[in-house]
Amino acid sequence: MYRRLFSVLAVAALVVSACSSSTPTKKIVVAEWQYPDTINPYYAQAETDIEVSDSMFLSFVDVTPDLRTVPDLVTTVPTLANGGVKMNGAGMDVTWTLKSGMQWSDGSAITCNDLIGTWKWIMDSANTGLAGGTIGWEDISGIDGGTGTTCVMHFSKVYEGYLYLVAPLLPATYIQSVSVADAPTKLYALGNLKAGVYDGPYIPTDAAADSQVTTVANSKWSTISGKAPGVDQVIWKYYADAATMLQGYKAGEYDVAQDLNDADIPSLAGIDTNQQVIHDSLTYELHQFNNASLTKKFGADAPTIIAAIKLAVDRQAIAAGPLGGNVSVSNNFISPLTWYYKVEGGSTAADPKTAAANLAAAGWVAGSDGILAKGGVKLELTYCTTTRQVRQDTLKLVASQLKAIGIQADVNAVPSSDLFGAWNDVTATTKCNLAHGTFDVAEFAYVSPLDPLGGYNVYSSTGIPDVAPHNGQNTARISLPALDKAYNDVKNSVDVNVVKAAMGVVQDIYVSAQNTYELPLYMRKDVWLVNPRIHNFTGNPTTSSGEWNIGDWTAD
Amino acid sequence: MVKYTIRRCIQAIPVLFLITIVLFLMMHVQGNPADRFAQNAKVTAAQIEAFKHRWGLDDPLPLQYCKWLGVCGDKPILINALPAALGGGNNGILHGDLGYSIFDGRLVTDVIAQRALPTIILTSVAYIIWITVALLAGVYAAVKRYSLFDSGLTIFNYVGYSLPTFWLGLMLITFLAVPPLRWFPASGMTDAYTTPAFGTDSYWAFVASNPFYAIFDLGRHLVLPVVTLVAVSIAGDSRFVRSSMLDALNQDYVKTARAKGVPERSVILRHALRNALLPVVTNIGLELPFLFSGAIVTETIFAWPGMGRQLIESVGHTDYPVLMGILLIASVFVVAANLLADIIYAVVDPRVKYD
Repeated sequence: MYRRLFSVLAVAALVVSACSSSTPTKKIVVAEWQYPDTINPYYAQAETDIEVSDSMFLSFVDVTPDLRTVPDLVTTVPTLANGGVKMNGAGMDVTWTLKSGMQWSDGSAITCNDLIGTWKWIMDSANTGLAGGTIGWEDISGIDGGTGTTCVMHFSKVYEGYLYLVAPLLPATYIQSVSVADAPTKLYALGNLKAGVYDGPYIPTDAAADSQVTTVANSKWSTISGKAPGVDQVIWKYYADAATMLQGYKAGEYDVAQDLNDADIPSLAGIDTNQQVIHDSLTYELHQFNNASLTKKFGADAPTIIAAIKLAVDRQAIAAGPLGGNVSVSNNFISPLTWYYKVEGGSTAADPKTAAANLAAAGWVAGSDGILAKGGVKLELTYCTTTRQVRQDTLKLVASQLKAIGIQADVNAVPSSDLFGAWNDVTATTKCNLAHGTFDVAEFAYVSPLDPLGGYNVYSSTGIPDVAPHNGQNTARISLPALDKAYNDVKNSVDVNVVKAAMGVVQDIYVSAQNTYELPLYMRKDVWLVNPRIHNFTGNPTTSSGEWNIGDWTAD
Repeated sequence: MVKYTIRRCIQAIPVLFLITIVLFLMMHVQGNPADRFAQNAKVTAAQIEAFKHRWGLDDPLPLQYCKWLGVCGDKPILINALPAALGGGNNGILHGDLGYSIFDGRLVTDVIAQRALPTIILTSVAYIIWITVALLAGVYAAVKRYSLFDSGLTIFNYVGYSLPTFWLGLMLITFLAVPPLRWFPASGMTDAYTTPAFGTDSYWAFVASNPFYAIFDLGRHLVLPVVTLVAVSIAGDSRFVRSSMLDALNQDYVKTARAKGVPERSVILRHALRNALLPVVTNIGLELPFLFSGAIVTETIFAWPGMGRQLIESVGHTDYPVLMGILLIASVFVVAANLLADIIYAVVDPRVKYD
């Protein structure tokens, strides 16, 4: 009797307790499908690292969803036109004017000393694992400003990428409290986030590995933005993969889903379209042609063969087939949103008849197996990609399209570590390695560069990785004097007109017959899910992603 | 028995040693942690080398293993293996040091300790439910042979045993976690809107102030992962219990007990079940490690932040120290479970003598 009574009371207590538990009124839960390795943006390698740290750290400038550069910690964006950038002999001086009265989360003032501290910290030889290396920072000869808010960076040579260099600013006093050698593991350590000093709208209170990172409103953020963050707490909840994260959204476990793309669109069935935010991405899928291996195989006919392949590959069929009609085909590799985009026009339709005719005119004749041959050499190519299913499906389709004009495409799906493995981390005979050039054609994705100089190492002949130290990204092994000149013009100027004209040349070459290095397949999509109770979410195609304005988000 | 147990423990040492060698070699087949810089043109070769040097990844493989073991270190090679109190080193597993995670710099022991509790909660609840349900269902099906329950259990066993764990987990989420039913949470250990993340200081403070709600919240998050984890095991073991029980019920001593007029309840529980449990106990002991392997899949599907999920994460990061730590513990667990099964067998069956 008593036992039963006790059981009933216990159940009743549980129910009452469950019903009476109070829910914080201003809380937003953001989901990702990969737990961050670090929240220190200078060590961040993965998108998820950058996204969570975006809510905690601020940069000198920010990039809006329409790719405008706007001031964040500073009052104006320094340019040559407004006098913020001045040429100084072979170098240049950049003046950054910090907003006055800004404070770190510990209440200390944000000054030029923080810029100096950040620079010295990055350049410290004991600092290992910097994701962005020391490019740009190493060209700085000195920084003036001290405890003031007008900071002058002296560059010993022209560095076109100065605008996005300070991303983000770090608090000098805090970063000096940890030895630089220990910084990768002890500065902003995930196990002790509370000890860190921040300037973003939300500051972390704790992190539960593979589960969630809890952040609360930074009361000092108002000294920077002039207002308080929109909610009391933002919780970052982590799933193991996109599929379970989507189920979690349907189950009402969070408000905003990040890091989804076109491949996830079919899985959005059942979710109201007004909760889906789908934008064109800066990421594009491409086929890269290895000019070295193709020239070795086919000699002077290599450019003709590459041109024929580009004509024969039906990109519209790829977009409509393996990609389910969720992407758009493009001829250019530069996003239309960038300020240096040039409209090139042209058709994206395939023309296999012309491709076949051009190969026939070059003396390629079909053998008994239907595959073209010339001088005893069969027209057989090694196509490589990663094990991602959509890529394998795409190459299967491409192989069938090429077979129709007599080209044999041998498709290889290899682990990402084989395809992207650095020169010293794989052997020279590792199949399908971009760095060693053990492929004929490779499918993968690039991010369309926001910074014009972003393509320098990819398309300039100085980036061919066959030359020591083997860390160039020109894995197509293309060497075009006109392309080199254009990128050198970009590299050596901070004049937007000069840079825009040079990038125009880069895009002209890209759509011309000189482009034997790349076939853009399609621009990918960025996808977010947003609960209607969340306001001011816009999305952003840059690595800042959806959280770029997280301080402005509000919730019902 | 004591001598036997000591002898088995000593025999386990070379077994574990060989296991660590195989695991260490397998770890290094999958790649190098520095591969994460492969697509980053801004990181120079010198910086990558500095990274490798910092983590000892530029040492020859045998030396890396020797250091992990604790035989090599700052002291001369064999001296280093001695306990620190005797002038030896303090690195490596011989000195209780599993090293540091390459990815977040924490002590591997801390990483594992943080992940152990969620896995212990999940697997122990699953284990209790698994054993209880398998025993009750198996015994009842044997006693009520060819009844509707027995037939139903047989169908459940065939279906349940054929279900891949990952598929079952996804189906449970699809039908029970998302609308229209939405009975249970789809993932995690706590509700992010109402409860702090499990294991954090805030969580324990929350538990202290809202114990009933905290238990309720954790309990409802346990339902789907536990069902996923135990469904296959219950299907297999209830069948095994049924068969063992049927065998016991047909033995002469059961018939004699019945002939002597012993009550049926006593015949089943005291005479038949005790004997039927002999092979079952051994089997259940040997199956213990499968709970851990099942937890790897289950924790991944349900975003349960335990050791299984850490293992998957560490594989992705090629975080050797953490991987080696978890796999070493799993290996010790398997060896210990085998030993435990042998010992329990001797305890429950007085005919078995090891000494």
